[in-house]
Amino acid sequence: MAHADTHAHDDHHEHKPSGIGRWLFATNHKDIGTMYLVFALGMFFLGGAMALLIRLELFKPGMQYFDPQFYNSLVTTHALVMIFGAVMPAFVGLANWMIPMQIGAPDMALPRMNNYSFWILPFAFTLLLSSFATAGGGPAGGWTLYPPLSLQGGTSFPLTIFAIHLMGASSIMGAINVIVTIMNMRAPGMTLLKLPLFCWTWLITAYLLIAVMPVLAGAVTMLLTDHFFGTSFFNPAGGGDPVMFQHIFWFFGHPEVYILILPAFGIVSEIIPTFSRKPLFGYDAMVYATASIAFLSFIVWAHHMFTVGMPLAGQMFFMLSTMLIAVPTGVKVFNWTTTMWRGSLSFEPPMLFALAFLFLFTIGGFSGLMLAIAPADFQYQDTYFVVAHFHYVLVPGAVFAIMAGVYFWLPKWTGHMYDMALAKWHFWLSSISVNVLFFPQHFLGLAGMPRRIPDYNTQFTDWNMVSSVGGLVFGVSQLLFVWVIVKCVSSGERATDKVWSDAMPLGLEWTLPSPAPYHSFEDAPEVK
Amino acid sequence: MTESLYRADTARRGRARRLTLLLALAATGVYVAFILLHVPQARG
Ligand code: HEM
Ligand SMILES: [Cu+2]
Repeated sequence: MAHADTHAHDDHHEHKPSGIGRWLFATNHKDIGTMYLVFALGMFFLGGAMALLIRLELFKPGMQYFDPQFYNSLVTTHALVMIFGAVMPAFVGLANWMIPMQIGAPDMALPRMNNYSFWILPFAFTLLLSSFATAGGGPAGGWTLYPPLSLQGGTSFPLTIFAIHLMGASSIMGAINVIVTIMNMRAPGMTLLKLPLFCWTWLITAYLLIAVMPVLAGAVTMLLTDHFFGTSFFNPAGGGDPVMFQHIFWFFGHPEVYILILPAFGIVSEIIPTFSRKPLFGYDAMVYATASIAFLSFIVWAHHMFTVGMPLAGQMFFMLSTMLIAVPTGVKVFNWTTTMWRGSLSFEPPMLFALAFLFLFTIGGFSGLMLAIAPADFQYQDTYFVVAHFHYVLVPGAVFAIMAGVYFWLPKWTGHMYDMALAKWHFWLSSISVNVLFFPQHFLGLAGMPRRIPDYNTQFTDWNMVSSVGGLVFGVSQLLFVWVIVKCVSSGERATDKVWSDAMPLGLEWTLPSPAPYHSFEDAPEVK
Repeated sequence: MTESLYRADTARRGRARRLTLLLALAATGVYVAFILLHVPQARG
Protein backbone atom coordinates (compact mmCIF):
# COMPACT_ATOMS: atom_id res chain seq x y z
CA MET A 1 0.00 0.00 0.00
CA ALA A 2 2.69 2.40 0.91
CA HIS A 3 4.25 1.48 -2.33
CA ALA A 4 1.26 2.40 -4.45
CA ASP A 5 1.03 5.60 -2.48
CA THR A 6 4.50 6.80 -3.19
CA HIS A 7 4.11 5.87 -6.78
CA ALA A 8 1.22 8.20 -7.22
CA HIS A 9 3.19 10.97 -5.59
CA ASP A 10 6.23 10.75 -7.67
CA ASP A 11 6.19 8.96 -10.92
CA HIS A 12 9.70 8.88 -12.27
CA HIS A 13 10.75 7.77 -8.86
CA GLU A 14 10.73 4.00 -9.08
CA HIS A 15 12.65 3.41 -12.27
CA LYS A 16 16.10 4.64 -13.04
CA PRO A 17 16.37 7.42 -15.57
CA SER A 18 18.52 6.38 -18.49
CA GLY A 19 21.25 7.82 -20.68
CA ILE A 20 23.58 10.66 -19.90
CA GLY A 21 20.75 12.56 -18.22
CA ARG A 22 20.79 10.05 -15.39
CA TRP A 23 24.21 11.39 -14.43
CA LEU A 24 23.98 15.06 -15.45
CA PHE A 25 20.71 15.63 -13.62
CA ALA A 26 21.28 12.98 -10.98
CA THR A 27 19.44 13.44 -7.70
CA ASN A 28 19.66 9.86 -6.51
CA HIS A 29 22.07 9.41 -3.62
CA LYS A 30 23.52 6.24 -5.05
CA ASP A 31 24.14 7.72 -8.51
CA ILE A 32 25.74 10.80 -6.99
CA GLY A 33 27.75 8.65 -4.62
CA THR A 34 28.99 6.61 -7.56
CA MET A 35 30.00 9.75 -9.45
CA TYR A 36 31.90 11.05 -6.44
CA LEU A 37 33.71 7.75 -6.01
CA VAL A 38 34.61 7.46 -9.69
CA PHE A 39 35.79 11.07 -9.74
CA ALA A 40 37.88 10.46 -6.64
CA LEU A 41 39.44 7.36 -8.16
CA GLY A 42 40.34 9.31 -11.31
CA MET A 43 41.90 12.06 -9.22
CA PHE A 44 43.74 9.46 -7.15
CA PHE A 45 45.42 8.23 -10.33
CA LEU A 46 46.11 11.75 -11.59
CA GLY A 47 47.62 12.78 -8.26
CA GLY A 48 49.43 9.44 -8.18
CA ALA A 49 50.95 10.08 -11.61
CA MET A 50 52.23 13.42 -10.34
CA ALA A 51 53.69 11.69 -7.30
CA LEU A 52 55.49 9.19 -9.51
CA LEU A 53 57.00 12.05 -11.52
CA ILE A 54 58.17 13.60 -8.24
CA ARG A 55 59.73 10.31 -7.16
CA LEU A 56 61.29 9.94 -10.60
CA GLU A 57 63.07 13.27 -10.24
CA LEU A 58 64.14 12.36 -6.71
CA PHE A 59 65.43 8.92 -7.64
CA LYS A 60 68.91 10.35 -8.05
CA PRO A 61 70.59 13.53 -6.82
CA GLY A 62 71.07 16.23 -9.43
CA MET A 63 68.50 17.64 -11.81
CA GLN A 64 67.25 14.92 -14.13
CA TYR A 65 64.03 15.67 -15.93
CA PHE A 66 62.19 18.80 -14.83
CA ASP A 67 63.04 22.38 -14.25
CA PRO A 68 62.55 23.45 -10.61
CA GLN A 69 59.50 25.57 -11.36
CA PHE A 70 57.67 22.63 -12.93
CA TYR A 71 58.78 20.35 -10.10
CA ASN A 72 57.29 22.78 -7.60
CA SER A 73 54.01 22.86 -9.54
CA LEU A 74 53.93 19.08 -9.42
CA VAL A 75 54.34 19.14 -5.62
CA THR A 76 51.68 21.84 -5.23
CA THR A 77 49.04 20.30 -7.47
CA HIS A 78 49.74 16.76 -6.23
CA ALA A 79 48.66 17.89 -2.77
CA LEU A 80 45.64 19.88 -3.93
CA VAL A 81 44.45 17.07 -6.20
CA MET A 82 44.87 14.38 -3.53
CA ILE A 83 43.28 16.35 -0.69
CA PHE A 84 40.43 18.11 -2.46
CA GLY A 85 40.04 15.80 -5.45
CA ALA A 86 40.66 12.31 -4.11
CA VAL A 87 40.28 11.88 -0.34
CA MET A 88 37.49 14.38 0.36
CA PRO A 89 35.29 13.40 -2.63
CA ALA A 90 35.81 9.72 -1.81
CA PHE A 91 34.47 10.34 1.69
CA VAL A 92 31.54 12.33 0.29
CA GLY A 93 30.86 9.48 -2.13
CA LEU A 94 30.78 6.97 0.71
CA ALA A 95 28.57 9.33 2.72
CA ASN A 96 26.14 9.61 -0.16
CA TRP A 97 25.90 5.89 -0.61
CA MET A 98 25.83 4.86 3.01
CA ILE A 99 24.23 7.54 5.18
CA PRO A 100 20.67 7.11 3.84
CA MET A 101 21.08 3.33 4.01
CA GLN A 102 22.42 3.46 7.54
CA ILE A 103 19.76 5.76 8.97
CA GLY A 104 16.83 4.18 7.18
CA ALA A 105 16.05 7.02 4.75
CA PRO A 106 15.12 6.79 1.07
CA ASP A 107 17.64 9.40 -0.06
CA MET A 108 19.67 12.43 1.05
CA ALA A 109 17.64 15.36 2.31
CA LEU A 110 18.70 17.84 -0.37
CA PRO A 111 19.07 15.89 -3.61
CA ARG A 112 19.38 18.84 -5.98
CA MET A 113 22.03 20.54 -3.92
CA ASN A 114 23.74 17.18 -3.90
CA ASN A 115 23.85 17.34 -7.67
CA TYR A 116 25.35 20.85 -7.68
CA SER A 117 27.97 20.01 -5.12
CA PHE A 118 29.20 17.15 -7.25
CA TRP A 119 29.12 18.91 -10.60
CA ILE A 120 31.07 21.90 -9.31
CA LEU A 121 34.10 19.66 -8.82
CA PRO A 122 34.97 18.87 -12.45
CA PHE A 123 34.90 22.61 -13.18
CA ALA A 124 37.06 23.41 -10.17
CA PHE A 125 39.73 20.92 -11.16
CA THR A 126 39.61 21.95 -14.81
CA LEU A 127 40.37 25.50 -13.67
CA LEU A 128 43.18 24.36 -11.42
CA LEU A 129 44.82 22.08 -13.95
CA SER A 130 44.31 24.38 -16.92
CA SER A 131 46.84 26.67 -15.28
CA PHE A 132 49.54 24.27 -16.48
CA ALA A 133 48.76 25.49 -19.99
CA THR A 134 49.23 29.17 -19.16
CA ALA A 135 52.44 31.15 -19.40
CA GLY A 136 54.34 30.53 -16.18
CA GLY A 137 52.80 27.09 -15.64
CA GLY A 138 50.82 25.73 -12.71
CA PRO A 139 50.76 27.04 -9.14
CA ALA A 140 54.15 26.40 -7.54
CA GLY A 141 54.05 27.96 -4.09
CA GLY A 142 52.93 24.83 -2.24
CA TRP A 143 49.40 23.78 -1.26
CA THR A 144 49.71 26.06 1.78
CA LEU A 145 49.79 29.12 -0.51
CA TYR A 146 51.98 31.19 1.80
CA PRO A 147 52.46 34.80 0.72
CA PRO A 148 54.58 36.46 -0.52
CA LEU A 149 55.61 33.41 -2.58
CA SER A 150 52.14 32.49 -3.75
CA LEU A 151 51.51 36.09 -4.85
CA GLN A 152 54.34 35.75 -7.34
CA GLY A 153 52.50 33.15 -9.41
CA GLY A 154 51.46 34.17 -12.91
CA THR A 155 48.08 33.39 -14.41
CA SER A 156 47.97 30.26 -12.28
CA PHE A 157 47.40 32.39 -9.19
CA PRO A 158 43.83 33.57 -9.79
CA LEU A 159 42.93 30.24 -11.42
CA THR A 160 44.05 28.37 -8.31
CA ILE A 161 42.17 30.70 -6.02
CA PHE A 162 38.92 30.41 -7.97
CA ALA A 163 39.36 26.65 -8.04
CA ILE A 164 39.74 26.63 -4.26
CA HIS A 165 36.64 28.79 -3.88
CA LEU A 166 34.67 26.32 -5.94
CA MET A 167 35.98 23.31 -4.03
CA GLY A 168 35.05 25.07 -0.81
CA ALA A 169 31.52 25.81 -2.02
CA SER A 170 31.15 22.18 -3.04
CA SER A 171 32.33 20.91 0.34
CA ILE A 172 30.09 23.28 2.26
CA MET A 173 27.04 22.20 0.28
CA GLY A 174 27.97 18.56 0.80
CA ALA A 175 28.38 19.17 4.52
CA ILE A 176 25.02 20.94 4.83
CA ASN A 177 23.42 18.00 3.08
CA VAL A 178 24.96 15.49 5.47
CA ILE A 179 23.87 17.44 8.53
CA VAL A 180 20.32 18.04 7.33
CA THR A 181 19.98 14.39 6.31
CA ILE A 182 21.18 13.03 9.63
CA MET A 183 19.20 15.54 11.68
CA ASN A 184 15.93 15.14 9.75
CA MET A 185 15.75 11.83 7.99
CA ARG A 186 16.47 9.17 10.59
CA ALA A 187 14.03 6.27 10.80
CA PRO A 188 11.75 6.25 13.84
CA GLY A 189 13.64 4.91 16.86
CA MET A 190 17.08 5.81 15.47
CA THR A 191 18.15 8.10 18.28
CA LEU A 192 21.43 9.94 17.99
CA LEU A 193 23.19 7.49 20.26
CA LYS A 194 22.12 4.61 18.03
CA LEU A 195 23.59 6.23 14.95
CA PRO A 196 26.23 4.09 13.26
CA LEU A 197 29.71 5.48 13.83
CA PHE A 198 30.26 6.25 10.17
CA CYS A 199 27.28 8.64 10.39
CA TRP A 200 28.54 10.11 13.65
CA THR A 201 32.03 10.78 12.39
CA TRP A 202 30.60 12.27 9.20
CA LEU A 203 28.18 14.47 11.14
CA ILE A 204 31.07 15.90 13.14
CA THR A 205 33.21 16.23 10.03
CA ALA A 206 30.41 18.15 8.36
CA TYR A 207 30.34 20.67 11.20
CA LEU A 208 34.11 21.04 10.90
CA LEU A 209 33.73 21.69 7.18
CA ILE A 210 31.15 24.40 7.72
CA ALA A 211 33.35 26.02 10.34
CA VAL A 212 36.64 26.04 8.43
CA MET A 213 36.08 25.97 4.67
CA PRO A 214 34.90 29.60 4.85
CA VAL A 215 38.14 30.44 6.68
CA LEU A 216 40.16 29.05 3.79
CA ALA A 217 37.92 30.90 1.35
CA GLY A 218 38.51 34.09 3.35
CA ALA A 219 42.26 33.55 3.37
CA VAL A 220 42.49 33.09 -0.39
CA THR A 221 40.11 35.99 -1.01
CA MET A 222 42.50 38.19 0.93
CA LEU A 223 45.39 36.89 -1.16
CA LEU A 224 43.41 37.77 -4.24
CA THR A 225 42.70 41.32 -3.13
CA ASP A 226 46.31 41.77 -2.05
CA HIS A 227 47.40 40.79 -5.52
CA PHE A 228 44.84 42.59 -7.66
CA PHE A 229 43.17 45.30 -5.61
CA GLY A 230 46.00 46.87 -3.69
CA THR A 231 45.03 45.74 -0.20
CA SER A 232 47.83 44.74 2.13
CA PHE A 233 46.40 42.09 4.40
CA PHE A 234 49.65 40.20 4.22
CA ASN A 235 51.98 42.89 2.95
CA PRO A 236 54.20 44.56 5.58
CA ALA A 237 54.77 47.55 3.30
CA GLY A 238 51.12 48.46 3.80
CA GLY A 239 50.88 47.45 7.44
CA GLY A 240 49.94 43.84 6.88
CA ASP A 241 51.65 40.71 8.09
CA PRO A 242 52.52 37.56 6.12
CA VAL A 243 52.58 35.53 9.34
CA MET A 244 48.91 36.38 9.78
CA PHE A 245 48.23 34.35 6.65
CA GLN A 246 49.86 31.35 8.26
CA HIS A 247 47.65 31.70 11.33
CA ILE A 248 44.51 31.92 9.22
CA PHE A 249 45.58 29.12 6.92
CA TRP A 250 46.34 26.71 9.75
CA PHE A 251 43.21 27.67 11.63
CA PHE A 252 41.61 26.07 8.60
CA GLY A 253 44.43 23.58 8.00
CA HIS A 254 44.50 21.63 11.20
CA PRO A 255 40.74 20.99 11.37
CA GLU A 256 41.11 20.08 7.69
CA VAL A 257 43.47 17.22 8.53
CA TYR A 258 40.79 15.91 10.87
CA ILE A 259 38.26 16.28 8.10
CA LEU A 260 40.53 13.90 6.22
CA ILE A 261 40.65 11.36 9.04
CA LEU A 262 37.39 11.38 11.05
CA PRO A 263 35.29 9.62 8.39
CA ALA A 264 38.15 7.09 8.16
CA PHE A 265 37.73 6.47 11.90
CA GLY A 266 34.05 5.88 11.21
CA ILE A 267 34.69 3.33 8.49
CA VAL A 268 37.18 1.41 10.62
CA SER A 269 34.69 1.45 13.50
CA GLU A 270 32.16 -0.29 11.24
CA ILE A 271 34.57 -2.89 9.90
CA ILE A 272 36.43 -4.07 13.00
CA PRO A 273 33.26 -5.20 14.88
CA THR A 274 31.98 -7.00 11.78
CA PHE A 275 35.09 -9.11 11.35
CA SER A 276 35.50 -9.62 15.10
CA ARG A 277 31.85 -10.69 15.35
CA LYS A 278 31.42 -8.51 18.41
CA PRO A 279 29.76 -5.16 18.88
CA LEU A 280 32.07 -2.16 19.02
CA PHE A 281 33.68 -1.76 22.42
CA GLY A 282 32.82 1.58 24.02
CA TYR A 283 30.41 3.05 21.49
CA ASP A 284 29.60 6.12 23.58
CA ALA A 285 33.28 6.73 24.29
CA MET A 286 33.95 6.60 20.55
CA VAL A 287 31.34 9.29 19.94
CA TYR A 288 32.68 11.53 22.67
CA ALA A 289 36.28 10.95 21.57
CA THR A 290 35.36 12.01 18.05
CA ALA A 291 33.70 15.15 19.35
CA SER A 292 36.69 15.95 21.58
CA ILE A 293 39.12 15.54 18.71
CA ALA A 294 37.00 17.88 16.63
CA PHE A 295 36.89 20.45 19.40
CA LEU A 296 40.62 20.24 20.14
CA SER A 297 41.44 20.54 16.44
CA PHE A 298 40.55 24.24 16.70
CA ILE A 299 43.15 25.08 19.32
CA VAL A 300 46.32 23.44 18.02
CA TRP A 301 46.90 25.18 14.68
CA ALA A 302 50.17 26.93 15.48
CA HIS A 303 52.03 23.62 15.84
CA HIS A 304 52.53 24.11 12.09
CA MET A 305 54.39 27.35 12.69
CA PHE A 306 56.56 26.89 15.78
CA THR A 307 59.50 28.34 13.83
CA VAL A 308 57.90 31.69 12.93
CA GLY A 309 59.11 33.15 16.20
CA MET A 310 56.15 33.13 18.53
CA PRO A 311 56.38 33.84 22.26
CA LEU A 312 57.43 30.96 24.49
CA ALA A 313 54.01 30.87 26.13
CA GLY A 314 52.46 30.40 22.70
CA GLN A 315 54.77 27.52 21.90
CA MET A 316 53.97 25.89 25.22
CA PHE A 317 50.25 26.29 24.71
CA PHE A 318 50.23 24.82 21.22
CA MET A 319 52.60 22.03 22.17
CA LEU A 320 50.46 20.93 25.12
CA SER A 321 47.12 21.32 23.39
CA THR A 322 48.44 19.22 20.50
CA MET A 323 49.56 16.49 22.86
CA LEU A 324 46.13 16.53 24.46
CA ILE A 325 44.69 15.16 21.21
CA ALA A 326 46.59 11.96 21.88
CA VAL A 327 44.10 11.23 24.69
CA PRO A 328 40.88 10.86 22.63
CA THR A 329 42.91 9.31 19.81
CA GLY A 330 44.25 6.77 22.29
CA VAL A 331 40.70 6.02 23.41
CA LYS A 332 39.87 5.11 19.84
CA VAL A 333 42.87 2.90 19.24
CA PHE A 334 42.22 1.20 22.57
CA ASN A 335 38.55 0.61 21.74
CA TRP A 336 39.30 -0.88 18.32
CA THR A 337 41.85 -3.19 19.87
CA THR A 338 39.49 -4.19 22.66
CA THR A 339 36.75 -4.88 20.13
CA MET A 340 39.00 -7.53 18.62
CA TRP A 341 39.93 -9.01 21.99
CA ARG A 342 38.48 -12.52 22.18
CA GLY A 343 36.54 -11.88 19.02
CA SER A 344 36.03 -14.51 16.39
CA LEU A 345 38.33 -12.83 13.91
CA SER A 346 38.49 -13.37 10.18
CA PHE A 347 40.71 -11.60 7.69
CA GLU A 348 38.86 -10.67 4.54
CA PRO A 349 40.16 -7.66 2.59
CA PRO A 350 38.16 -4.97 4.47
CA MET A 351 39.52 -6.25 7.79
CA LEU A 352 43.06 -6.46 6.42
CA PHE A 353 42.94 -2.84 5.34
CA ALA A 354 41.36 -1.81 8.66
CA LEU A 355 44.11 -3.60 10.59
CA ALA A 356 46.84 -2.03 8.47
CA PHE A 357 45.13 1.29 9.18
CA LEU A 358 45.29 0.63 12.90
CA PHE A 359 49.04 -0.08 12.91
CA LEU A 360 50.23 2.37 10.31
CA PHE A 361 48.00 5.29 11.28
CA THR A 362 49.40 4.89 14.78
CA ILE A 363 52.94 5.25 13.42
CA GLY A 364 51.81 8.53 11.86
CA GLY A 365 50.35 9.55 15.20
CA PHE A 366 53.67 8.90 16.91
CA SER A 367 55.67 10.99 14.47
CA GLY A 368 52.99 13.65 14.98
CA LEU A 369 53.71 13.63 18.68
CA MET A 370 57.41 14.04 17.96
CA LEU A 371 56.63 17.03 15.75
CA ALA A 372 54.43 18.49 18.44
CA ILE A 373 57.42 18.89 20.77
CA ALA A 374 58.23 22.51 19.99
CA PRO A 375 62.01 22.44 20.55
CA ALA A 376 62.32 19.24 18.52
CA ASP A 377 60.20 20.67 15.73
CA PHE A 378 62.81 23.35 15.10
CA GLN A 379 64.92 20.51 13.77
CA TYR A 380 62.15 18.66 11.87
CA GLN A 381 60.27 21.62 10.39
CA ASP A 382 60.27 21.63 6.58
CA THR A 383 62.16 18.35 6.32
CA TYR A 384 61.14 14.98 4.94
CA PHE A 385 60.23 13.94 8.48
CA VAL A 386 57.09 16.04 8.16
CA VAL A 387 56.46 14.49 4.74
CA ALA A 388 56.78 11.01 6.28
CA HIS A 389 54.41 11.97 9.12
CA PHE A 390 51.57 13.24 7.03
CA HIS A 391 51.86 10.53 4.43
CA TYR A 392 51.55 7.88 7.13
CA VAL A 393 48.35 9.42 8.43
CA LEU A 394 47.00 10.09 4.97
CA VAL A 395 47.93 7.07 2.84
CA PRO A 396 47.83 3.98 5.07
CA GLY A 397 45.51 6.13 7.19
CA ALA A 398 42.79 7.88 5.20
CA VAL A 399 43.33 6.14 1.83
CA PHE A 400 43.49 2.63 3.33
CA ALA A 401 40.29 3.32 5.26
CA ILE A 402 38.58 4.38 2.03
CA MET A 403 39.75 1.18 0.36
CA ALA A 404 38.60 -0.82 3.38
CA GLY A 405 35.18 0.85 3.07
CA VAL A 406 34.97 0.11 -0.65
CA TYR A 407 35.87 -3.54 -0.09
CA PHE A 408 33.35 -3.66 2.78
CA TRP A 409 30.36 -2.24 0.94
CA LEU A 410 31.13 -3.16 -2.68
CA PRO A 411 29.08 -6.42 -2.54
CA LYS A 412 26.13 -4.42 -1.16
CA TRP A 413 26.45 -1.92 -4.01
CA THR A 414 26.92 -4.33 -6.90
CA GLY A 415 25.21 -7.48 -5.64
CA HIS A 416 28.40 -9.43 -6.42
CA MET A 417 31.25 -10.74 -4.34
CA TYR A 418 34.61 -9.64 -5.67
CA ASP A 419 37.75 -11.60 -6.33
CA MET A 420 39.08 -12.11 -2.78
CA ALA A 421 42.44 -13.47 -3.91
CA LEU A 422 43.10 -10.48 -6.13
CA ALA A 423 41.98 -8.08 -3.41
CA LYS A 424 44.40 -9.73 -0.99
CA TRP A 425 47.18 -9.29 -3.51
CA HIS A 426 46.21 -5.65 -3.69
CA PHE A 427 46.35 -5.45 0.08
CA TRP A 428 49.73 -7.09 0.57
CA LEU A 429 51.43 -5.28 -2.29
CA SER A 430 50.03 -1.95 -1.10
CA SER A 431 50.85 -2.32 2.55
CA ILE A 432 54.39 -3.54 1.99
CA SER A 433 55.22 -0.96 -0.66
CA VAL A 434 53.64 1.91 1.25
CA ASN A 435 56.17 1.32 4.02
CA VAL A 436 59.04 1.04 1.57
CA LEU A 437 57.84 4.31 0.11
CA PHE A 438 57.36 6.35 3.27
CA PHE A 439 59.35 4.82 6.11
CA PRO A 440 62.78 5.86 4.73
CA GLN A 441 61.50 9.43 4.56
CA HIS A 442 61.71 9.53 8.35
CA PHE A 443 65.46 8.85 8.11
CA LEU A 444 65.90 11.40 5.36
CA GLY A 445 64.11 14.02 7.39
CA LEU A 446 66.05 13.34 10.56
CA ALA A 447 69.25 13.58 8.53
CA GLY A 448 68.14 17.00 7.32
CA MET A 449 66.77 16.59 3.82
CA PRO A 450 64.47 19.54 3.12
CA ARG A 451 60.99 19.06 1.61
CA ARG A 452 59.80 20.66 -1.67
CA ILE A 453 63.24 20.49 -3.29
CA PRO A 454 63.97 18.80 -6.66
CA ASP A 455 67.63 18.14 -5.92
CA TYR A 456 69.52 16.97 -2.85
CA ASN A 457 72.88 16.26 -1.31
CA THR A 458 74.44 12.96 -2.34
CA GLN A 459 74.37 11.57 1.21
CA PHE A 460 70.57 11.22 0.84
CA THR A 461 70.76 9.09 -2.30
CA ASP A 462 70.18 5.58 -0.98
CA TRP A 463 66.98 6.11 0.93
CA ASN A 464 65.60 8.23 -1.88
CA MET A 465 66.14 5.37 -4.30
CA VAL A 466 64.42 2.96 -1.92
CA SER A 467 61.53 5.36 -1.51
CA SER A 468 61.12 5.82 -5.26
CA VAL A 469 61.07 2.07 -5.86
CA GLY A 470 58.41 1.71 -3.14
CA GLY A 471 56.43 4.48 -4.83
CA LEU A 472 56.50 2.74 -8.18
CA VAL A 473 55.33 -0.58 -6.71
CA PHE A 474 52.60 1.16 -4.69
CA GLY A 475 51.40 3.06 -7.75
CA VAL A 476 51.28 0.01 -9.99
CA SER A 477 49.53 -2.07 -7.30
CA GLN A 478 46.62 0.33 -7.36
CA LEU A 479 45.75 -0.93 -10.84
CA LEU A 480 44.70 -4.15 -9.10
CA PHE A 481 42.15 -2.15 -7.10
CA VAL A 482 40.55 -0.90 -10.30
CA TRP A 483 40.60 -4.36 -11.78
CA VAL A 484 38.89 -5.91 -8.74
CA ILE A 485 36.18 -3.21 -8.84
CA VAL A 486 35.56 -3.47 -12.58
CA LYS A 487 35.31 -7.25 -12.39
CA CYS A 488 32.96 -7.01 -9.43
CA VAL A 489 30.63 -4.56 -11.14
CA SER A 490 30.22 -6.79 -14.17
CA SER A 491 30.35 -10.30 -12.70
CA GLY A 492 30.98 -12.43 -9.67
CA GLU A 493 29.27 -14.74 -7.25
CA ARG A 494 25.95 -13.41 -5.92
CA ALA A 495 26.28 -11.61 -2.61
CA THR A 496 23.87 -12.41 0.19
CA ASP A 497 22.00 -9.59 1.95
CA LYS A 498 24.17 -9.79 5.04
CA VAL A 499 27.28 -10.29 2.86
CA TRP A 500 29.88 -10.95 5.55
CA SER A 501 28.29 -13.20 8.14
CA ASP A 502 24.89 -14.05 9.52
CA ALA A 503 25.62 -12.97 13.08
CA MET A 504 27.17 -9.66 12.09
CA PRO A 505 27.03 -6.97 10.76
CA LEU A 506 24.05 -5.37 12.42
CA GLY A 507 23.52 -2.04 10.66
CA LEU A 508 20.34 -1.19 8.71
CA GLU A 509 22.20 -1.24 5.40
CA TRP A 510 22.50 -5.03 5.72
CA THR A 511 18.72 -5.47 5.95
CA LEU A 512 18.45 -4.25 2.35
CA PRO A 513 18.85 -6.68 -0.53
CA SER A 514 22.16 -6.89 -2.41
CA PRO A 515 22.43 -4.97 -4.69
CA ALA A 516 20.67 -2.26 -2.73
CA PRO A 517 17.51 -0.98 -4.44
CA TYR A 518 17.63 2.38 -6.24
CA HIS A 519 15.72 4.02 -3.40
CA SER A 520 16.92 2.73 -0.10
CA PHE A 521 14.04 2.69 2.37
CA GLU A 522 10.65 3.49 0.86
CA ASP A 523 9.14 2.24 4.10
CA ALA A 524 10.83 3.37 7.25
CA PRO A 525 12.32 0.51 9.22
CA GLU A 526 11.60 0.35 12.95
CA VAL A 527 14.76 0.73 15.00
CA LYS A 528 14.61 -0.89 18.42
CA MET B 1 6.09 4.96 6.04
CA THR B 2 8.84 7.46 5.65
CA GLU B 3 9.20 10.02 2.95
CA SER B 4 12.13 11.49 1.27
CA LEU B 5 12.29 15.07 2.40
CA TYR B 6 10.67 16.47 -0.73
CA ARG B 7 7.66 14.34 0.06
CA ALA B 8 7.83 14.84 3.82
CA ASP B 9 5.22 16.49 5.99
CA THR B 10 5.44 20.26 6.23
CA ALA B 11 6.76 20.33 9.77
CA ARG B 12 9.74 18.18 8.97
CA ARG B 13 10.36 20.01 5.71
CA GLY B 14 10.23 23.29 7.58
CA ARG B 15 12.77 22.11 10.10
CA ALA B 16 15.07 20.95 7.33
CA ARG B 17 14.75 24.26 5.47
CA ARG B 18 15.53 26.26 8.59
CA LEU B 19 18.54 24.14 9.37
CA THR B 20 19.83 24.44 5.79
CA LEU B 21 19.43 28.20 5.91
CA LEU B 22 21.07 28.45 9.29
CA LEU B 23 24.10 26.43 8.19
CA ALA B 24 24.46 28.39 4.96
CA LEU B 25 24.28 31.64 6.92
CA ALA B 26 26.82 30.37 9.42
CA ALA B 27 29.27 29.53 6.64
CA THR B 28 28.75 32.92 5.00
CA GLY B 29 29.09 34.61 8.36
CA VAL B 30 32.43 32.96 9.10
CA TYR B 31 33.71 33.97 5.67
CA VAL B 32 32.71 37.60 5.99
CA ALA B 33 33.82 37.83 9.61
CA PHE B 34 37.28 36.50 8.90
CA ILE B 35 37.83 39.06 6.17
CA LEU B 36 36.38 41.99 8.11
CA LEU B 37 38.46 41.08 11.12
CA HIS B 38 41.58 41.75 9.10
CA VAL B 39 40.49 44.87 7.28
CA PRO B 40 42.21 47.28 9.68
CA GLN B 41 45.45 45.56 8.79
CA ALA B 42 44.70 45.67 5.07
CA ARG B 43 44.55 49.46 5.03
CA GLY B 44 47.75 49.83 7.03
C1 HEM C 1 48.26 12.19 16.49
C2 HEM C 1 47.92 13.37 16.16
C3 HEM C 1 48.78 14.30 15.32
C4 HEM C 1 49.75 15.12 15.76
C5 HEM C 1 50.24 15.26 17.18
C6 HEM C 1 50.23 15.87 14.61
C7 HEM C 1 51.21 16.85 14.64
C8 HEM C 1 51.69 17.53 13.55
C9 HEM C 1 52.63 18.60 13.59
C10 HEM C 1 53.26 19.17 14.86
C11 HEM C 1 52.86 19.02 12.31
C12 HEM C 1 53.76 20.17 11.85
C13 HEM C 1 55.13 19.68 11.52
C14 HEM C 1 55.97 20.75 10.90
O1 HEM C 1 55.57 21.36 9.87
O2 HEM C 1 57.07 20.97 11.43
C15 HEM C 1 52.06 18.20 11.45
C16 HEM C 1 52.00 18.32 10.09
C17 HEM C 1 51.04 17.71 9.31
N1 HEM C 1 50.09 16.79 9.73
FE1 HEM C 1 49.92 16.03 11.60
N2 HEM C 1 49.56 15.45 13.50
C18 HEM C 1 48.65 14.49 13.90
C19 HEM C 1 47.77 13.83 13.10
C20 HEM C 1 47.55 14.11 11.77
C21 HEM C 1 46.48 13.59 10.99
C22 HEM C 1 45.41 12.64 11.48
C23 HEM C 1 46.61 14.10 9.73
C24 HEM C 1 45.79 13.90 8.50
C25 HEM C 1 45.01 12.92 8.26
C26 HEM C 1 47.78 14.95 9.74
C27 HEM C 1 48.25 15.63 8.64
C28 HEM C 1 49.30 16.50 8.64
C29 HEM C 1 49.76 17.23 7.49
C30 HEM C 1 49.12 17.18 6.09
C31 HEM C 1 50.86 17.98 7.90
C32 HEM C 1 51.76 18.83 7.02
C33 HEM C 1 51.16 20.06 6.52
C34 HEM C 1 52.14 20.79 5.67
O3 HEM C 1 53.04 21.44 6.22
O4 HEM C 1 52.01 20.72 4.43
N3 HEM C 1 48.33 14.93 10.98
N4 HEM C 1 51.33 17.29 12.23
CU1 LIG D 1 48.12 20.14 12.55
